[in-house]
Amino acid sequence: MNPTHDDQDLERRLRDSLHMVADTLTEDDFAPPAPPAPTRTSYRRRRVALGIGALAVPLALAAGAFVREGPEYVDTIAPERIVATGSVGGSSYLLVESDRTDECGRPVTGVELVEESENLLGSEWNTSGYEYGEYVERPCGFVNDPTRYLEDPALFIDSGVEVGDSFVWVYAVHPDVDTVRITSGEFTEDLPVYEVDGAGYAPFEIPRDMDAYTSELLIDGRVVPDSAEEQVVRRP
Amino acid sequence: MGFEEAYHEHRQALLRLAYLMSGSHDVSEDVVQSVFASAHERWDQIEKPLPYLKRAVVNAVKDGQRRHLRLLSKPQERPQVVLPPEVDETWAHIGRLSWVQRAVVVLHYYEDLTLAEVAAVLDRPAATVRSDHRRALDKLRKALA
Repeated sequence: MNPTHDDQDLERRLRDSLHMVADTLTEDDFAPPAPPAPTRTSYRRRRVALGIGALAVPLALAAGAFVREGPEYVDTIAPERIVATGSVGGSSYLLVESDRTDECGRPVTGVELVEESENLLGSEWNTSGYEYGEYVERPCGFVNDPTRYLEDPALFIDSGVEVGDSFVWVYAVHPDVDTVRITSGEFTEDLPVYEVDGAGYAPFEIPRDMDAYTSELLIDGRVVPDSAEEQVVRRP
Repeated sequence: MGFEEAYHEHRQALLRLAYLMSGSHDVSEDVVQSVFASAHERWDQIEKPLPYLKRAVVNAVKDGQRRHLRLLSKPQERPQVVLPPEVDETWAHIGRLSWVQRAVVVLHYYEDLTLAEVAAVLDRPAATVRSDHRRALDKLRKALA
């Protein structure tokens, strides 16, 4: 079917508007260019960079975090897939074993966080997933590879989503890690770690009045060196 | 093309694409920097850097929409640029599309990709993308009527 005159007008308007918006953006509108350093950074910096990458880069590139949205529709979740449940500000969520397949047709490991209010029966799935490792490119597509992470318990993935009136932050950790400790002033909470597909997963329900906290990984009660991360929480 | 050369040559185009996808300067900066950082270590294995980087940016913006916490820790977003009324209205309605519909519109009308190419970038079936495109135009046509 050929586009109508109205369609052509609309398409022209879209094209012109997008180019005009883009043309308003110059280098001056953004931070000065600073290419990522060509040499490898220190171990500590490298681990932090991976954590940040997991937040910003999805399934196709970085480790650990992805978002699943439609076109499959919410039906039921088998009870045996449920790893943990919780509630933040009256909004319930589930941490469930992932049942997806990756680009190479292999089962995806790890967990997905399913917020009840975002996944009502009959709506499209809207979950966020967490997988331990990093994404690597194979001939068939991008797949998760935990090899390098398994070599060092200090490496972890952390990422989260808004749930209710606060956030749930999920840590994906080395299988030897049995606790994630959260501290903030007088506040201390030891998060249990749930074993899924050979790695550990620990959800943290961030209290509404918490502005910043530090996380550390523990094995048998001892803090894993170089595993501490400071997190700032700013709310709208 | 070397990594640094690609960074300087493509950064602004990728920032613009990220902005059209997100509507946020800060998100765009974060996404583009993260994409380059991730690409750096495997740079020699990337055959076609620009399509790879564009796909990574689109996906990164999508992921960033559910990653509110880091974004909320950033300073206030800078003021928006002033646009002619017709452009401003169109841009506002593009911003109200669903993520997928917005991605289709930006990639098709700004990046000039065919719908088949858009489908490849978004990793969605071509028929689904054609449907996304049709629905996006329907929505925009009604909103701008």
